[in-house]
Amino acid sequence: MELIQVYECARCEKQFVQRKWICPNCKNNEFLKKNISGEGRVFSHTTIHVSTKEFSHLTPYSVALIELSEGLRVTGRVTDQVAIDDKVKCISYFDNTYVFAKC
Amino acid sequence: MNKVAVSGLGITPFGKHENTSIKTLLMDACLDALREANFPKIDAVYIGNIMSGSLCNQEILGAITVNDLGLGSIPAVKVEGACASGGIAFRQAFLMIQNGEYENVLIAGVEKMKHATTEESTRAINAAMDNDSNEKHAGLTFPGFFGMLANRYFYETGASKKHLAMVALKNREYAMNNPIAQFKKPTSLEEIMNARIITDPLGLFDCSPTTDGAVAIVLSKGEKGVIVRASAQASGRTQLQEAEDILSFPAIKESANRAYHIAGLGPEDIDVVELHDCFSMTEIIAIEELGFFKKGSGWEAVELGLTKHGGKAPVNTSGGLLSKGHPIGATGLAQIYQIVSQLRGTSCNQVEGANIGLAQNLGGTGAYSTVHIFEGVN
Repeated sequence: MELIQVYECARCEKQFVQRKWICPNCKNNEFLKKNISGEGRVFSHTTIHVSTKEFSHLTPYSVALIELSEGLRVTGRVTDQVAIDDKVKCISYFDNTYVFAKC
Repeated sequence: MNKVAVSGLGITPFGKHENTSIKTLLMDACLDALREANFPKIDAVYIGNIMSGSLCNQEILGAITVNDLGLGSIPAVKVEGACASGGIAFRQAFLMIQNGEYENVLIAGVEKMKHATTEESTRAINAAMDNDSNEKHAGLTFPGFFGMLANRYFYETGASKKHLAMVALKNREYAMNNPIAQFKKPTSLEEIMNARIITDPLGLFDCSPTTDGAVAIVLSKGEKGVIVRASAQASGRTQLQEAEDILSFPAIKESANRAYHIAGLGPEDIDVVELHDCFSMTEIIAIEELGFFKKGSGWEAVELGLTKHGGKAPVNTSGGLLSKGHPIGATGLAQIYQIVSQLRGTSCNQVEGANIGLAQNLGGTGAYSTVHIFEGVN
C-alpha cells in the first residue's frame, strides 16, 4: 500500500493533501510534510467518458473522492468500478497521481 | 451612493457562428446595447471572457471594443473569473458607477468555442480548475467534478437521474420560446435519460454545451427602469477534495446572503430567477443554496414543478445554460439580459407581474459566485 503525503500545519495540525502557503484555519505559515495511511472508503465517484487528449488513452476511466481513515479526503483514479462506501487502498503514486483499488 | 440602472441591452443568437469572428460577435452585441441606450458618452468598458486567448489567439478585447466603437481613449478591462467572468465584469462596472467614478459603462461578454474540437474545448474549460494538483493529474474533468456531486447527492437524498432529466427538460421547454437559444428542438424525459453518458451519471442533456455568442449591457447612473438593488460576490473552493461538504457551494450561499442583506429582501421576495445550470445537478444545488428550498430537498421541488411558472419562482426562463447555451464569458450577462427583460415585461416566457429578479453566476467548481438582484421601477 502507498502512503499519502500531506502537509500538516505546524501550529494547529490541520492537514492538507495539497500545499497551502497560509493555513486557512489558524493563519500560521509553517507546514510539515507527513505520510498517512492510504486506506479509506469511496465518498463519491464518476466514470469519465469524455476527456482531454492527455487522458484519451485511458478513457473511459473512473475517478473517486476517497475519505481516508483519518478523515482527510483525496481525489484519485480507481482501477475498478466502485460504489460509495467501498473500501479501497492506495496502490500507487506517480506523477502526482494517486491510484486506488478495492481492498 | 448613486443608484444604477440598466439603460441598454444587446445579444447575438447563441449557437454556432462559423464565419463570424469573436470580434464581430462582440461588436454586434455592443452596438445593439449602445443603440438601445441612445449612445450615451461611455466612460469605461468591462469585458467578460475566459478563452479568447486559448481558443481564438485573441486578447486585448477591451481595447478593440473601445477602438472599433469609437469610444475615444477611455479605460478598458478584461475580467476573467471562469464561467462567472460576465457576472464579475458587471459587478465591477456597477461599483464604479455606484461610487461616482463613472456615469455610463459598457459591459460585454463573449466566447467563441464551436470551432474547437471537444478535446481542445475540454482542455480550455479545465483551465478553470486548479491544475497544479493531484486532482487534475487523476484526470478529473470539469463535468467529472459535477458527476461526483450527483452520485453523492443521489446517495444522500432520494434523487435519481430522472430528477436531473426534469431540470434539463424544463430548461429545454423554456428555450423553445427563446429566439436566441441554441437548442429549440422538443425532447422528452426518455430521450434525455437515454442520451450518451459524458461522465456518469451525467448524460449529454445534463451538460451545458459549447457555444458561440455575445451579450452587452449599458449601465448608467439612474433611478428609473430596471435598477440594480444589490451586487455581491464571494469566493469558494477550487478543489473537490478540500470541500467540507461537497453538496454545498459556500460561494453561492455567501454571495446570495450578502445580496439579500444589501437589498433588504429574501428569497420569498424574488419573482424570477436565472441561475447557473452548467449541469442539471448544479441547478438543484443552486436552488437550495440560494434559499429557495431546504438543503437536500431541491430534487423534490423540481419533481413538484416548483421551479416553473406557477411554482415558487420560475428558474431559468431563458432556457438556462443547458439549452439557451453557454458562451462562458457571456453567460453572466445573458442571465442579467433575461432578468432585465422579465422586469421590463418584454421577455420570452414572461412571468406575469415580475418586479424583483435575481441572477446568480458561478465560476469554476464553486470558485466564484456573483448574485445580482434587480427591481423594475416605473
